[in-house]
Amino acid sequence: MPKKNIAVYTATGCRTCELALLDIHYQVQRLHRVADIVYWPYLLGSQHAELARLEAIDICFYAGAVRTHSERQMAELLRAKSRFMVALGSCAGFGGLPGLVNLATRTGPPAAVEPPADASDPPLELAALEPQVAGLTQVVAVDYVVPGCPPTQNLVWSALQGVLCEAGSQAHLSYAASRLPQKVAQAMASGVRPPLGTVFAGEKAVCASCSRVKEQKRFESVKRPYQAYESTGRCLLEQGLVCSGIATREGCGGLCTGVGIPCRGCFGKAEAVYDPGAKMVAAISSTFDADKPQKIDAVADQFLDMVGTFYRYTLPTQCALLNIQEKG
Amino acid sequence: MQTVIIDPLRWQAAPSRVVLSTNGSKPQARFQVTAPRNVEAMALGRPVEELPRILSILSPSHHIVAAQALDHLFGVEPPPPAATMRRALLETLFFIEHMQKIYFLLTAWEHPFRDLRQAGRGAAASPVPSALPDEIMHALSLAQEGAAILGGRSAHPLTAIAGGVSRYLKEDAYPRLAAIADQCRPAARRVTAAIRESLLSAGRPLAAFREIAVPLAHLSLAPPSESRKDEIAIVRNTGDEPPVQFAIEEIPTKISVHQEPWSYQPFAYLQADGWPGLSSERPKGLFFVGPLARLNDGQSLSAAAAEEERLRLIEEMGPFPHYSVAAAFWALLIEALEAVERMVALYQKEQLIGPSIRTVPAQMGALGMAALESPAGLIFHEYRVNSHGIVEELRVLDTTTANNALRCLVAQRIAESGVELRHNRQETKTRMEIGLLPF
Amino acid sequence: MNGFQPKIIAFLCNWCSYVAADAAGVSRMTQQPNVRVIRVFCSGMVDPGYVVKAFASGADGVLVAGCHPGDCHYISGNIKALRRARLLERLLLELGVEKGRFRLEWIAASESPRYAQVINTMCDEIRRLGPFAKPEGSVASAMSVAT
Repeated sequence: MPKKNIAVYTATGCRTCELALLDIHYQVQRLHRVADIVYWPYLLGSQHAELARLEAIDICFYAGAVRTHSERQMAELLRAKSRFMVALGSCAGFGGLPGLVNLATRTGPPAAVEPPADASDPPLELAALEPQVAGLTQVVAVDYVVPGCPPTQNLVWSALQGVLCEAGSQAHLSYAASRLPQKVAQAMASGVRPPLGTVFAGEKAVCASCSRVKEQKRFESVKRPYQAYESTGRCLLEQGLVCSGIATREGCGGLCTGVGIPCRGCFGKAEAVYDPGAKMVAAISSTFDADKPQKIDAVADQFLDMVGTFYRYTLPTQCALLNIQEKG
Repeated sequence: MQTVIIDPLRWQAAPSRVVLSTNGSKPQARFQVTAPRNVEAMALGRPVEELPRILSILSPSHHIVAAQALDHLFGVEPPPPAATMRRALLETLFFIEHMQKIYFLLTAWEHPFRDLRQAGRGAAASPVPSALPDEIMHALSLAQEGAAILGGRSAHPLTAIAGGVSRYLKEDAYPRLAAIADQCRPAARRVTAAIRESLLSAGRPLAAFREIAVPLAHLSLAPPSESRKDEIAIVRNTGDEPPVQFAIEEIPTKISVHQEPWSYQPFAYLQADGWPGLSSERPKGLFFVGPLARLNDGQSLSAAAAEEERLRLIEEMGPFPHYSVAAAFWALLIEALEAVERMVALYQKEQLIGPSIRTVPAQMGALGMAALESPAGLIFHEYRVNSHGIVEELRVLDTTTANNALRCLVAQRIAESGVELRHNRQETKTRMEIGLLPF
Repeated sequence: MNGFQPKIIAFLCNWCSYVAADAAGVSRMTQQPNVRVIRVFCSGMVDPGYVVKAFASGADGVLVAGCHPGDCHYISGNIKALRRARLLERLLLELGVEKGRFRLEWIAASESPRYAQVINTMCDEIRRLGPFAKPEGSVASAMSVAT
């Protein structure tokens, strides 16, 4: 059985998603037996110019948001050469933290330093910036998404196994199978590729995996995370904190809420949600303990930077009113 | 005129390339960062308590310094167990990031995805013991587990917040941490010995990099002493000039940034000297940060194994200060040995428990600042917020900006030595990547 | 007059505001023709997502009309709508939807003149604000190399 070809590339973000692939520790050697990594600039030194000469790629893992013109070109070139394109991490999947730059530029660009003309040096042009930061899904057709900032090890491995169609051991699959939708887990267990468009995460909201105790959803005033609250035990939303878990896709196992930090939605919106911000408004306003208009206004006034919070990782792709047109 | 473009460079955190041009015999190398990060645009307008998570996109240490800046903003002190937990996480990050760079170095000779079944069977002679990359990976995975226990996650940690940390560790974490530290310590020693013997000693592949040296002033943090209760920043110049020191609060006025049209990353320089450009022989005003900058302060180290290794470097390469690429790699090993001893000391249950792990702020402040030594060098955050705690002004000095000038100069030095030694393109590329890696 | 015809989506609750709208039509009260009505069983079932979707799909204004507090057929559904509306207004403002495009009103079944008045006032207001445009590509040709 010939080995599959894999490519790995990061646009604008950080290197954590690429390192998440490397960090599958001893699995790296197992991976080697079924796949050849033919293009990985960060780790193997592959040059951009080599890409044009490469034969077909089976699976491309593209991490990072599309910020510059050359990153867009790389996305298009990799898409043309690759049988399957996987958006690795929240930046590629949804725009990620770099997507917040679109908000800043709406309200006025940060002071850009005027570069002096330097005629003596040879021209060393940098790729131009795109007018807005985009997720990979808005630049090329994407076949699979592995969400997260960064994606968890289990889901990275499940994506590798799923797209490579190598049925792994039960131990490898069990965690992923317990979180992934049934049809995906079954496909993986049988060595069949999951349906195109699969997001390697759960379908429900993070609340389904969160270990905190949910009782009565009622709070009188909003808390900000620097104020006092119970960091273990009770649901954060019930305590008056803004926790985006209720609108966010599960799959991380409730990582942040498990250590007392409110969720900020890095897995993107849950399957059934139309717009994460609208969903959060619905969820939060249901928990106000106020009936009179003035009291309601007083509570509502305490929410600051809702757009930057509810669309923290998803502004370019999942904000219904501020997104950029999707492609494919 | 010939032009060779190395695009992109391996192992660099920021996407970057080098453009080499030869005009006659004098080669010119331009190190360029090819995409912007612009965290300021991501952070302006956000509630200030969100910054530890947002700014960790730069590196995990930024999560910790952001929490410290919040402590300063709110005027609170984290309780001792919280301070220790943050410190323990930072020491673990030292071990992780330094070992990652060593791992990358080894991939210059050992393909990371090589079939282990083939290893040693007629393969081209590699200077590196073939089991070493996997040994480093194993130690890395243990340290990452430690970082995840302390920080919630090892990459993009979560638990450092204003006034402390967000939660106590679980009971079963303490024996696990002790076991992790116990395994990382001998691993650090074995890896150091193996790298020193196979790569750094005279006649070995990295010995050639003793000549790739760019003497520049260096910036580091000095801890409090008897005469001084706060940390201060010190710039030690090359040559006989006296060091310049200033309080952390003065960093925004002492260090400025300069933008060039051919790189998306700005350059840090000392305000008092003005931007000197990159062409002069002894550019005054430029500085670098990192392990070598810290060791160049000349202090002996508290951990015996680390001090021993530091003395070995002095015996082999002469006294500090050092500026060469080879010394920079050796500095990573020395600091990893020191970090692992601190991990052993701090991963103790008694240090990580107490009546409280968080001091809750009583009121919103207006200005928050903090600096710390991250694995790659000194980092600094400054926030100004409005009365609601929304970030209105932000200033972040990260190591990619601080060492941008150094990388440009190292690239130039390598290009010149490549022509002198008549290297071919592939060798020049590898030398360039190795030369830029340890900074 | 620039000939701009606003598109307003009105979510009307079955028990009060829809009845008022129906009566207003039957009584031939003059109303501007720019409203598309969606009948719901309670103003409290209007998810904020519907409002956002309306704007995203090309609406220039959205009205949610329910029973007066105390009169809700489901006891407190309209209070839920009130809580949502206040928070939603603030989110919409941050998203670039100007104040006045989204409204929550209480209109009893017997208040058909009030219904017509609300519609006409809202249409005038939306005409004044102009068509709603998603803030698209508003950016950064200025941002060539930024720190």
